[in-house]
Order: sequence, then C-alpha cells, then structure tokens
Amino acid sequence: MPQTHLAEGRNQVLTALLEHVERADALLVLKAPPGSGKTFVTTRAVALAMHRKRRVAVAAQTNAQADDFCRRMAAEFPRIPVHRWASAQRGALQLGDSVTWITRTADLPAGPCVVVATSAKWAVADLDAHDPFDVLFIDEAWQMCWADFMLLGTVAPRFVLVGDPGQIAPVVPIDVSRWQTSRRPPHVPAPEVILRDRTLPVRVIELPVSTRLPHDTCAMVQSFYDFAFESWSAPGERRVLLPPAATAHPVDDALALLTTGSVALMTLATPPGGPPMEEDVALAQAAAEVVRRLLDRQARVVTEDGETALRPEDIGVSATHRVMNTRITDALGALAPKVRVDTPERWQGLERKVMVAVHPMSGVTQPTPFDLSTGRLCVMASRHSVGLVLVSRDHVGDTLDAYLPVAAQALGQRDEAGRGRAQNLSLWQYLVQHQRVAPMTPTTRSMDSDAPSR
Amino acid sequence: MSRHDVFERLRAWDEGGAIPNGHTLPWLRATAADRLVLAFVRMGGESSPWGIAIGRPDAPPEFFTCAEPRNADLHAAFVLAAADALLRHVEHPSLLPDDERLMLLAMEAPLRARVRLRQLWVPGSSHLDMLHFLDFRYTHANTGEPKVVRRLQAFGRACGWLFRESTRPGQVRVFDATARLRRAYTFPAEPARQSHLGYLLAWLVPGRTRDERLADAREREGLPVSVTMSPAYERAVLEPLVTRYNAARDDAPAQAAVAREIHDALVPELRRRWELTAQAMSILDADTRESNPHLDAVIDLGSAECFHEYWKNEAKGLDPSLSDEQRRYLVHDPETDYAPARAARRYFAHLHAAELAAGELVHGDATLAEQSLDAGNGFRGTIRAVEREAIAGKKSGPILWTIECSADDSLRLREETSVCLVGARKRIGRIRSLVTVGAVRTVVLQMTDGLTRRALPDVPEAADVAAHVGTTVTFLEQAAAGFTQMKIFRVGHTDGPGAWLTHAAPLPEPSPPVRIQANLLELVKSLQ
Repeated sequence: MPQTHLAEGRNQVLTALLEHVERADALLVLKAPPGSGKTFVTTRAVALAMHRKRRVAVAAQTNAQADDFCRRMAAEFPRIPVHRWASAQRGALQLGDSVTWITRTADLPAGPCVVVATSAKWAVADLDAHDPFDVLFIDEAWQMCWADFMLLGTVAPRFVLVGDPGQIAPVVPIDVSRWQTSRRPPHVPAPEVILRDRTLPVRVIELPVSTRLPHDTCAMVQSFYDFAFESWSAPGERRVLLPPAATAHPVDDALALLTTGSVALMTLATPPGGPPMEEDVALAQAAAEVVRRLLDRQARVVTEDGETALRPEDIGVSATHRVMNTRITDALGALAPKVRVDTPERWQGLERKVMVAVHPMSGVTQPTPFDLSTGRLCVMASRHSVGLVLVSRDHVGDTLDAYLPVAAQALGQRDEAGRGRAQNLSLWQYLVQHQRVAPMTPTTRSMDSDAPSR
Repeated sequence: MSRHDVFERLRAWDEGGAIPNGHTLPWLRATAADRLVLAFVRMGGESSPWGIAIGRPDAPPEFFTCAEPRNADLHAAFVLAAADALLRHVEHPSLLPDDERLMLLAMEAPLRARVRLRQLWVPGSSHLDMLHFLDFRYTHANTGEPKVVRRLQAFGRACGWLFRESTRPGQVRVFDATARLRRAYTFPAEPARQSHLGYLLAWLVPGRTRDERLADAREREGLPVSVTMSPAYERAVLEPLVTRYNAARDDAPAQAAVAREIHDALVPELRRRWELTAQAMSILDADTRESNPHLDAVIDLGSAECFHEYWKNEAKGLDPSLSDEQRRYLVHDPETDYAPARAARRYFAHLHAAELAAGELVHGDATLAEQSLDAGNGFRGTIRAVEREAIAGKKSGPILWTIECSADDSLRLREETSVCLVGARKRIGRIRSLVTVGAVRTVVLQMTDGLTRRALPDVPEAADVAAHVGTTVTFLEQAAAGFTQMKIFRVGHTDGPGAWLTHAAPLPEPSPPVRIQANLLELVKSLQ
C-alpha cells in the first residue's frame, strides 16, 4: 500500500500555496523533488487565481513545457480558458478545447485570464499597452538564470517560482568569473539568487513527497537536496520481477538486484590505461544489453497499480555524451525506435518505469568542476518509477576518493566543486554500502542460480 | 578534446612542426601604429609588477622598472612613468584637446573609427592578470598629489577595461600571443606545454626537422615567459641587489646606483618577453592565410564596446562640474559589477559577443564550419524531398525540406531550432522533426527565410524541387544574436510592476488583509 499518510503533508503544502495566492503575497518559492507533482499543484494555484478574477501569467522554459502545461490545464480545469501565447513561426497546436492559440501581443486578453508562454517570449514582450498581470508563475524556475528572470519584472508584481533544485543548472557558455561575487550573479539560477538574499520577503515551501521515485531511490538522491522528502511508495512496493532465465548472462547479477530494490550499479572493469573518455563502446553495449536482457527475460514491473509486463516503451537510457547515446542506439538495434536514448538535459521532466544510465563520471579520471556538478547525475538517477541500472567503469569511487578539490571559487562563494564531489561520493558509497553493486563479468553459472525473483 | 583535435595533433607530430588550424585567421592585421606590445615581470611572492616593457612593434620598447616594488611611493612613480604609453594607445581623452574630446564624445563614430583596429599584445595569460591587478591597485588610488592620483587612477581604469575586454568572447583588441598562436596553429605537444610562448615559437621555425624543433622547444621552455622570473635568477642576481638597495636607504647616490643595477638586471628579462611577443605577432602577420571575411561585425562590436564601456565614461569623468559621487558612478569596480542590472547587462553583452563571433566567423572559414558540425551544432545530408505543406483553407503552406543524414553524426540540435544554410546563410529553416531509424536520421525543415531569388539571387528558390532534390547541403545553428542583444537593452528597464524584485525598486504596497476561505482544496476541486 502506498504511504497514504504522506498525503496530508502534500495537501498542507498545496494549501500553503493556495493561501499565498489568496492573500496575493509578493513572492513564493516552491521547491519540488523529482516527480513530486509540481505541475499538479501549480495548475491548482493558477486555477484558484483565475477564479479570483486575477490576470495570471505562466512562464515555462521551453515551448514543450508550455504546451504540456496548457494540456494539463485543459484536462484538469476544462472550464478555465487558457491562452497559449507563442511565436508566429510555430504552427498552432491543438492543446485542448479550453486553450486558445495566440501569436500577437495585441491578442492578449483583457481582464482576468491565464496566459502561458515561454520565459523568452515574456522577456521581450512589449506589454505597455496592456493591463499588468497580477501574478507570474514560473515553471522549472531552477532552469532560469537571474539575468533572464530580471527581464520578467515587466510582467507582474507578484511571483511564484516552482522548480526542482536538483536539476541541471542553466547552460552558461561564457566565462562568468567577473560576476562570481556580484550581489545578484546574473548566471546563477533565479531561485538561488532570491534565496541568498535575506532582505527579500520570500516564502519558501517544499513538496514533501515524490510519487515517482521508489522508496529506496528517495534515500539515495536525498543528498542532492537541502530538504527532506519521502516516497509515496512503501518500501519494496515497486519492483521488477524476473522469470527464471534459461541461460546465464553477464548482466543478470545487476538485474537480480532490481528484484530486491530499485537501484543497481553495474560496473565494468577499468582498463589498466584508464577508461575511454567519451566514447566507451563496451559500456554502451553493456547498457544496451541491460535493456535487451530485461525484455528477453520478459521482466514485469510491480507498482501500486498492479503488475504489468515491461515493454520497450517503458525503458529509457541516458548518457551525458551524445556520442555515447549514438553508440547505445546502435547497440540497441531494432529496439532503438522504442527505447528513448537521450542526454540528461532532454530527460528533464520525463520518466520511465525503468531507466538505464551511464554514470557521468565513468570516463573521468581527473574531475573538473563541470564533471562534479551533480545536476546531470541527479536527473539521471531520478527518472525511473520502478528501477534504475547505473552502468559505469569501476574506478569512480576511487577517483572521487582520491580527488581533492582546490576550492578555486571566489572569496565568500560556495565551494561547488567540493560539494559536488561530496554528493557524488555519497551516492557511490550509498550503492556500495547497500550492496547494490554488481560487476558485469562473463559468467558460467548454472541455471539453478537464477532463482525466480518471487 | 575532440577527435578532430586529436587527429590534427597527430598530423602535426607526423609533419614535425606546427600546422595551420583553420582556413582563415579570426582577426585583422593592424599597422604598427595601432599596436602596442606590453610585458611585465614581478618580484617573487609579490603581486605588483617590478618592471614593464612597452612599445610599438616597429620601434625598440621602453623599459620601466622599480628598484623596490614593495615601496608604494616608488611603485606609483614607476607606474606613472609607464602610464603614458598605454593611455595614448587607448586614446585617453585627457590627452586630447578639449574641443576634440567634446567632438568625439558627441559624435562617437570618429572615435570608433580611430580605435577600430587598436591592438594590445601581451605574451600570455599571466600578463593579462597583471592588468587586472593594476586595476585593483590604482583605480581607487587616493594618496598623493591630485594630478598624480588622477593619472594613476586613469591608468588603473585603462588596465581594468583592457582586462575586462580580454574576457569578452570573440574580442580582437587584447591579444594573448600564446593563445593566438594556439588558435592559429596545431602544435604537436600536450596542452600543458602549450602555455609557453617560447616553446610554441620553436615549433614554428621553418626549415628544421621535428627533432631539431623539439630540442629547441625544450631548451626555450627553460626560460620563463610569464610575469614570474626564474627563482634562481632572482636569488642569485636580484636579491643581493635589492638587499643592497634597502641597506643604502640613507645614501641617495648609492641607492640610485643600485637602482640602475636592478634596472639593468630586469631589462633582459623584460626584453625577452617583449621580443617573443613581437615575434609571435610577426609570424601571424606573415601567415599566408587571409583574415576571416566575416570579421566586420565582430570588429564593429569591439569599437562600440570601446566607446561605451570605456572612452565615453573617461571623457565624461573629465567634466569638472561632476561631483565625486557622479564621477564614482562612471567607474567600473575592479572586482565585479555590483549593481544587478549592470551585471546582467554585461552578462548579456558577453553572451551576445559570443553568439555574434560564432555565428559570423563560421561562415567565413570552412574549418570552423566542420568543427561546428563535429560539435553537433548542425547537420549535413542529402535533400530527399521539397514540398509545400497542404493547409486547409490556405492557398499555399510552408515549404518543407526533408533531408537525410547519417545517424552516426552527433547532433545537439532539437526540434524548433533555427538553422541556416552554409554558403547561403540568409536561407533559414526551423527543424520541424528529427527521426532516426537505423543508420539514417531524417530532418524535416520548415523553410522560413531566404526563400526567393529576390532574397538570394545566386541560389535557386527554396521551392524549386528539381534544383534541390538529391543535392548535399550543410546546415548550422542560426545564432540568435539579435535576441540576446535585445535583452541587453531591456534588462535596464526599471519601471515594470515587478521591479521591486528584479531591479531593487521600492516594495509594492502590501495586499490588504484577506479572509482565507476555510477549505481551499475543496474550492479548487470544485473548479475542475
């Protein structure tokens, strides 16, 4: 049975958000762990604001996110009209009966309304001829840097920022050392800048429950967050079931771990000369083998909703380097069109029942601050609702252990590299201490050792 | 390091010397009058320069040294002596007659034309850092005669601007000779060794074998080119001199004699750094490759930056009617941009510069285009179909190009990214869909710009099926530089309703107290 007692905590947070909307307070930041129902609570707050005859603006970070938000509003609140404000170059999409597609600023509605657009669209919009909006909701706010957020000051006087602090920070393609010590560094995620400034009248609330992540995964990824959250599922409630195998296979030890918990780390021996850096063909093949073996063995998954067969569409694969994703796609062969293989950046916001992820530090022996930033690992480790197989060369624990960050950050700033190392190491040690590690080795085991998983 | 880099380095090793990187050079050659070469040395354990070599490349440099750089007064005097050459190079308004200064301030264009190709060359990155240090030390100088203090402050600000400019992506004003050589050539050596200017120059000496060049490079590597001198040289030669200098503090003639000895000991060190830099400049000038033909926009941006980020403020600061507070507002802090709006504006300006440089130069250099493809910023394939999309109720829908590429090529782009055609950059399309089946990746582009002969006279119209189907095309990401440029201006708007948060405007009036309904969850449920 799910941990239904947690519903009360989630309802309290939702109520706090709704009260904030009722009172029309100035600023709220909602921190949400992966799969905790960000959109669920945001749509409700938007609906309430509209019900109170407010002009509501919603900013998403991509067109896909904006479209999804409109679909959710149309599905859950079909009586509330929503305007999807998009570029004239985009073809109009049918997002629901209650959603109107507009492309011109002149078409923005007067009076109470809900208008959804990307942050980029809001940033360069000339709203002088329109009544100001009453409140601006910003979805996936941790993906937006402060400089971009500043452009939204022309939209509304009140802000609700919703996002996952563990996600990948905005991409900054230039040298930003000049602004490391700025009062409000333009390249830092907007919510972080707001939370660092103690003078702002900000209210912070945190969603306490992840409905996506299995119970033990929550414990594993907890180190990436500065607030506690729990899993909706009870311990052991979600699992992979594997019928007995007719023959032994090198990845079976790792798959067996998925029958007793939600996470497995499958390691490959590191070659004496060090791991291949970007393109590790053996690792790509191993990741594809995990997918193929799960399907060959006709794995089934158990969730709160019951037991179902695992289909290729239920599995996703992620690696940080595009070249690795190409190799994995090659190795998947005929399965490739059904199994999504992508970078963690593109996995944000998505989920699968089972994920296979190539550890981002597998090919790294001399970590840089970029390698140690935990956003990508956090995303990769939090896309699954039932099982995750991390695939990696086996040196990562030793590499992290031996590496001492130089703390090259500007005076007074956080040691991000040191923090990243600690979090990376913490995750690796969690897997080792909880005996979730299985080396991938050619095996000659007898069939007897493949005991049924239930 | 990409596969291309590895391949090129192995090729350089095979050829026994440095090989050209790219078909063009991403900067223009300038005349000696527009160039200044600058090199520093410093005392071990100290941050301040101990000596400065400065001068145009067509004349011997001037050498300025300070016998005891830990003495603040001596140091200021030494810097003051060296300041003129740098301030002349940056056209400091205090060196111009009043009427000329006011004319340049009012008209902008003549000043921009004057500084368009001004270049400052330094041996390496540690010399750039020294500019930053001088900014910290002298921009806020406040002790001494007012005239001297003003000149020292002007020197500090000039160093600060040049340092900041050196960090702006794509800039062609401040040249780190070592980095420019690495940009222009591929060297057969590991990255760590490529930080030494002398080492790199040895690989560029013509008419030698690989072993000869390698031996020479190793030998030159033993002589420092950064701002720090060899500890052995400092210990053996300079330390005794400085000790003697300080011991002679009550004997001015003796002290002056030792100061001259210190100067003579520092000059060879300064000269070597200065000459290596000039040598690197000459080699790059003699390179047979043309400059990138798409540099104009990049250089224009640089001259606009010079005017708006440096010269205009300097000229305004000379207005005697300004209060200290007003004058302070014209000065950039050496550490950071504390004002959030200014920090954001500069952040967007640097982003814009990066996008502009990448977006422009890639069309003028086939190697850059290949590197961009290699990095997944575009795709090359064969056009399989050109058609007009049928849209109900419309006479003609958008033109769609279906292009087949190899799925093996990496691709960073996603749906809705705008791409432009290499060879006809005004022809722009937006990615409608990306589908990979087996070894083939199919990209469907909705063509959005440059569709007609009027827009692109030398290219068949975008809808011309016969002309396009079966041809191989290369598309690269279309840099949205204009979009970022718009943000530079918009981020300064302080009058929005949310400016209390984004621009530190006064907080809005608190909302009047509201009676919160008892069960909001039920209320929201009823809205569903």
